[in-house]
Amino acid sequence: MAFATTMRSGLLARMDHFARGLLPLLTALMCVVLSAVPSRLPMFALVAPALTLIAIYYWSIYRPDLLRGFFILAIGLFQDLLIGSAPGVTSFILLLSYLVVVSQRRFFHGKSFGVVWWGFMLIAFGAALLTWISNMFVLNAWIDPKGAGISWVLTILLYPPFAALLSQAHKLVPVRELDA
Amino acid sequence: MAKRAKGPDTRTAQPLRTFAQRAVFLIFLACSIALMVLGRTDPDSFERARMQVTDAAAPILDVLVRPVDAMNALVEHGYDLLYLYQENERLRQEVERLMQWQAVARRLEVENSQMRELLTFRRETVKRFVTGRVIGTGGTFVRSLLLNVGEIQGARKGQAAVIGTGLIGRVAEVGLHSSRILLLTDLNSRVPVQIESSRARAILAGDNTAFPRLIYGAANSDLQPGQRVVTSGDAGAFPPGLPIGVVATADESGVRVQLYSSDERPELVRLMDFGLDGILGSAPQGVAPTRSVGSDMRPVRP
Repeated sequence: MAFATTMRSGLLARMDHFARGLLPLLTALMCVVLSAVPSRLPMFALVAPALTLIAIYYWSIYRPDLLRGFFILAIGLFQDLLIGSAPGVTSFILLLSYLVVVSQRRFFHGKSFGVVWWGFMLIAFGAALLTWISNMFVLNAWIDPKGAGISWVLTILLYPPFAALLSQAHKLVPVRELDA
Repeated sequence: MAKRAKGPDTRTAQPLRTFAQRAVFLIFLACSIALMVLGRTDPDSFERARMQVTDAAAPILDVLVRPVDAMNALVEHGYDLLYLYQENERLRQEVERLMQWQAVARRLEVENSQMRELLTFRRETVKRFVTGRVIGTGGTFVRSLLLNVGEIQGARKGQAAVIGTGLIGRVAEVGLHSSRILLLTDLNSRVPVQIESSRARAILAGDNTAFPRLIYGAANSDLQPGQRVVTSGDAGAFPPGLPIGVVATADESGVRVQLYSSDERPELVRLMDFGLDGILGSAPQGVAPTRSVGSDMRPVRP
């Protein structure tokens, strides 16, 4: 018992705890970088799946305390600057998605994967629609909605494998103190 | 610990804390909207930040793209092996056809050089070129490529980005170790072009679809599907004659061009410097040659 207390207060343990707490942020940043990697697949030529939304959705349900508003603003801006899209659009969409998911997160707790996936489908649809509208506003031009539609379908299809990876990362994240 | 936290003080503090958190969140939301407005009114303000972020991420992307490229090469290799016989047959026929063309080309070359001598014609040649690996792409609403060559390697804003089949875009932003190519299909891309056979001039305008439109063509251009589209050299941005594509459809709804590069997923892109400063060097990001393309042309923005 005494040994455990010493370990917990140890610098190494605290650093470990801190690093694990950063996992939601790091996985979201990884999704941003992955979405910029050229896939060379024909179907990805004109669309890109919203991988970052998957990470934001996942952590908004299970650990919103580790992914605060400022992080989401920064992640969105990072994506916009890296991809070359209009700055602010992704931040706006991600922040709104976070707001909606966090308000409904208790509904998803303890539910089957199908229900969570279904919820993601709805959120991703709203996000795709808003991204399309925001881009038309920022670029001041009509944009064919087909690209946004295909991107939505791709994002939904990619949710299960990415959610599986995120749940692996979730196991490493320290448990909330209030829950413990 | 948890039981003690539910005292009367916490009960009054909790709504306050939630309110503060929501207020802060709304401030962040407002920040994102402000960024959007700023991005629209002054797109240049983000250019430096964009290139710094891309420069920083370039080494990571460069590493991540290698396995993707290797996998792609493997799939292509397998595919090639499967269709070896048919491909060989097709190439044999093509060589025969090209031999005839070569004869024609040689004759024309001699004729051309004689005529150039008569006219003391100055030909635009590539001053230098730099080849870069594609390490990133744009998103659903941006048609761009990220290359692992930047200012240090010789990439400059406005250079023509070319692959084996023809022009794919131009350099829109340059960082120290990375550069961004604005593809011909991007909503902001405008390139002065001409129909090779008729010399009819027009502007090739991207609209995020795979088939960019031809706009501002003369009413009597008589465009037909299958006609070759090449750069016109107007505005001093690109030299004339760089292959772009063929007219795909020409009807009341407009003229669309099938790009030679549309099926390509380039791994390597060549940036060509023709020494033509034109107007691209100073053109703002995302707004292509439109302003100085010609004095008789109105701004292209729809």
